[in-house]
Amino acid sequence: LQVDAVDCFGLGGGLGFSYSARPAPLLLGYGCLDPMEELAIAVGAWVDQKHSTCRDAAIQEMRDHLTRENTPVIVPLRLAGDCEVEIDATAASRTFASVTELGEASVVYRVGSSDTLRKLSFAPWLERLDEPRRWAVVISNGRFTAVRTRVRGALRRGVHRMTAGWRNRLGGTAALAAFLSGLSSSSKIDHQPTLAASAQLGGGLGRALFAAFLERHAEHLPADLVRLAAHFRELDAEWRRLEAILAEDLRPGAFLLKQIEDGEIEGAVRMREHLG
Amino acid sequence: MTGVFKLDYRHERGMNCTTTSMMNVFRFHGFDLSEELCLGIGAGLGFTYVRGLRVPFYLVFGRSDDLEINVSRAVGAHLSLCSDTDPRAAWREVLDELRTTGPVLLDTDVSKMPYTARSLAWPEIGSHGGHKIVVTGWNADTEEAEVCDYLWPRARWIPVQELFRAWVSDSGPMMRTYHFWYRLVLPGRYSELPDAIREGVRTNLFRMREPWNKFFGVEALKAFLLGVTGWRYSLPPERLRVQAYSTYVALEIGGSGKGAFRRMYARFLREAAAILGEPELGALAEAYVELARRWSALAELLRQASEDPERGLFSGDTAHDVLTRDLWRGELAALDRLQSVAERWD
Repeated sequence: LQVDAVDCFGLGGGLGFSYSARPAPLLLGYGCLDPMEELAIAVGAWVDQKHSTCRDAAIQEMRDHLTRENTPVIVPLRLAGDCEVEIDATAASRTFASVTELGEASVVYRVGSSDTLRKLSFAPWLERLDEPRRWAVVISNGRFTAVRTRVRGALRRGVHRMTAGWRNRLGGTAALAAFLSGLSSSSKIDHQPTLAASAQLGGGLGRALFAAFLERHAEHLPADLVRLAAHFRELDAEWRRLEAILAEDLRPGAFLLKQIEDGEIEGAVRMREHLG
Repeated sequence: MTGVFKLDYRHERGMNCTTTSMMNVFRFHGFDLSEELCLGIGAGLGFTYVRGLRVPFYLVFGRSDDLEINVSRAVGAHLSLCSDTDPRAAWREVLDELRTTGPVLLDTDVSKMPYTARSLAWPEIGSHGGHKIVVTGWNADTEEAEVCDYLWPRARWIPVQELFRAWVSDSGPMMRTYHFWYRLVLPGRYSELPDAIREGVRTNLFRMREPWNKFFGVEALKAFLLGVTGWRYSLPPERLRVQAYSTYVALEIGGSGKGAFRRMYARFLREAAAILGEPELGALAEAYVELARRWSALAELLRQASEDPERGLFSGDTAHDVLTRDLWRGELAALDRLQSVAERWD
């Protein structure tokens, strides 16, 4: 199964918005809380989350898995600029690595969405493990859910998350309103998390990715829904204008913020109408 | 957290630990789902047949796994598994979740939970770490937790040290637990019930018909139903007796609602038929009632064999092979009918 950034966003993260000012600024351009699990479920695979008793046990169990199953293990890895130079260092502090060899001397892995195989000595790699007991494997028999079912299901979930949000935390359009209102009312905001969240999605808070997702799966969707891709491209441009302003540490104008908020709400509402 | 903290939580008994827990937890949070809807929306119809990694026995189970995650996702919530190597540290997280969110779901070892083990004479080989309980209160002075288990008529206070013993499981055939608990994030608004039902049925069909490996879904059903009468050739008498009893427990009395969950699934289909306005689901419910009867008959033959391997399923009566093969064909036919209903939804 080929899954690129467009499908990762559309099927995994999904349309949405999450924001929390405290304890640390956090902004996500997607609606779900575990994109890897969401993507796996959507396509009919399973992320088997492992919680080993300690780091050494995790290493041994990962080695056993690699020997027995010959499929990669996934671990959260802290990013290091000298190792993964093509990943924007401001975009994230960690990524997920897909490990294919875990030897006594060295480790072979891929990071993020990069196809490049990397090799690192075991000790420094071990130091970079973000949660040393936690690892996962993706289990699949090579057969996947029907594209039409998975695409429509992901869109329905995305629209729901965008309009319903999360209880007791900021999510969806309520989070969006809170975030934009903060931008217009305070000048003491650290914009780096916003810029980083958007950079992780290729800029424009991933709205261009979402537009591409709608167009890619046009044959499985109502035509009116596919036409909404243009709306999300406009939103992409507006988010990029906002990012440029924030990068200059300037305060954005109320008109742009209102345009973004109205556009996001309109996108979700029209999606819901067209999905039926 | 000091003193006594107790949620205003209504515990209702049920048929299965996971479905009962999810029903009660969602009710606490204002979403009234029956236990049967939790099973169906959680894509709970399933089958597992796998030999243990550490013990030479088979685990047989009539349900799919991840039900709690599936049902949460389908209704718009998010449930994530958490753990800590130190039970005290994990417990602090549980208490924080209890205070901030509400009832907390825990994975425990079914054979180590007081009462459950005794009441079912739960066999050691049936031990597994996926037994769900719900923590609803805490007394910091006495270090006792208020816990709800699906079989108990009401919540009980148990010493946390006793709970810690059941919070680790490494001895059963599968499903280890190591201070596992779940963090629940609720949606601002739940999904529409018809959408959640359709989602659950679609997920269930895929997982049954396209299992990840031969230990689950139709592959496991086939291996079990076409091979179980042959256990008498492959297992020595004493192991055969224990295996027969543990399988009887799993299929009939150990939280399956009798009939390997098919009876409960039939009730789900009846509810779903009314909610979705799909009479075919109501008709299909009758097929699952019939399947449940056959599973119960098979379980009874296993119970008899556990008392005397010359009796029951391993007596050599060819009618038993007819029963298991009919069951296999009936399961496939029911899935086909369910699939044809679900295809209309897309």
